[in-house]
Amino acid sequence: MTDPAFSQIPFALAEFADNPEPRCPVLLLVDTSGSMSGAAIAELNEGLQAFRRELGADDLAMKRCEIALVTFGPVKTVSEFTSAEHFVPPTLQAAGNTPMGAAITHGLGLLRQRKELIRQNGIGMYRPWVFLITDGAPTDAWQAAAEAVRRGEEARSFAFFAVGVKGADMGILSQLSVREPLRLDGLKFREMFVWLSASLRAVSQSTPGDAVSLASPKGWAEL
Amino acid sequence: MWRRWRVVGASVRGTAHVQSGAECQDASLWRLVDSAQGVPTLLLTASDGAGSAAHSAEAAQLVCAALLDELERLSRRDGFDLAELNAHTLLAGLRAALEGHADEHGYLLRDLACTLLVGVVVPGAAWFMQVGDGAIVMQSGAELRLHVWPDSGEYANQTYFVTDVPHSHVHEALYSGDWRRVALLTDGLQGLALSSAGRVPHAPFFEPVFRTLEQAQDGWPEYLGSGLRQFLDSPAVNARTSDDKTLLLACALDVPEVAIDIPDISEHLETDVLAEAGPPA
Repeated sequence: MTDPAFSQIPFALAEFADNPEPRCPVLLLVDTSGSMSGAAIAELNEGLQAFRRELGADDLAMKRCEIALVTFGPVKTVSEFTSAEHFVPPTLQAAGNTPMGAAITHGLGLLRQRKELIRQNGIGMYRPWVFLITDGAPTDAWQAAAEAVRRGEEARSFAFFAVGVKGADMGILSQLSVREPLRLDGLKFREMFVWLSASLRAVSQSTPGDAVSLASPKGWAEL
Repeated sequence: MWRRWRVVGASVRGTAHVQSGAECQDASLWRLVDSAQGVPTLLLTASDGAGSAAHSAEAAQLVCAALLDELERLSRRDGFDLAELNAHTLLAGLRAALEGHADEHGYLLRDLACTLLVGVVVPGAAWFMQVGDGAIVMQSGAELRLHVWPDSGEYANQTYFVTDVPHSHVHEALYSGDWRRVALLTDGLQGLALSSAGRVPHAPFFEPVFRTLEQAQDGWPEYLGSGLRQFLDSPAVNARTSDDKTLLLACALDVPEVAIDIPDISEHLETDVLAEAGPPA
């Protein structure tokens, strides 16, 4: 065969578009009030390290997930939305009270801005996740925040998950979150973050029409 | 000059489906028919079955076949015009066919969720319709055009399906122009073939692909088809997508009419006839 067309696959000359990966924003709202001091904050810090390591094992999830971290006690943006590749888990210190309502409102504001930015750049997006972790009860007005969560869930603007550590007011958490809040089993922050990472890996690689079935949280939550 | 079409298409299983043992949920079909007025009419269709729907591979096949039959029936009617085509009527017919199939096999209608891409192309005009993601690309001269940007809802893992699409997400349009190149592709190829920055077809993807088809030698349809399948399953493509992928390509070829040299014999005939029927000597 001398025809040069036979020396390669026909159609292989196509050059591919270089598009940015679709993004999956993940907002972590973490209670760092005084009651978290000691073993709890240490386990939480170790959990964040595990979260970063687990995501790091997955190339696509690393490119697609964007992490933001807001702590409360007082409310502070520890890390703006940044791709998982560039997310550096901080060492959190526990202090202060529990302004949970303000933290949710502030975090959802960051998320709204981020979604706007992603859209303006014509980049695809997965439904964002908001993950609230607390061991107490709000020390501020939280009703407006609960309303914002309810509206956001209804509009499918994000999926909101609440996790109560021992001592958390599960009654208020269930009013804050449309989904049933989960109670952390002991201080299994590490297991919880490994689960979160695995769930995000599944979601961030799903294609249209896929049913993403998340693993049961029974390895870290009291069910 | 007369026009003919060269068409090649392939649906290839994505690497994620190969790993999980799932079948290919994409389908595509095409047909060339002569309308009642003798206009060559190219019919193209492709469908992507939803990953979460239990029998979506069957649905994609069924939808493509039913649609081509209906479009052939319409285009063979006297006085057929592209402007008569109506996406909502076609969809109602498809949904009835899907409901019949679901009843017959004891499925739920949502088990048959799939997207839809359709093209009807004649010299001077083309009609396209789309439900869900994937893309239809057309070219006339240097103008490379996209029918609609993949309609994937708000998030990257959502889209619309023929089984329950809202009216506002059925996209149909009639384009006048000499569309000599047409491509249908499912969402597995979107990231490679479309550029999200300007929401346009990625010309360096389409130009070599169409050129290959136009310059291929006649009489090699198997070679082209297996070449396209090989390309769609090549490491370069699989590095960028793990989903099922379909590419259906059509290009118009203008062929000079074969000049048959028929001598003008009318004069002779007339003379002969006259001679035969001439006045009696």
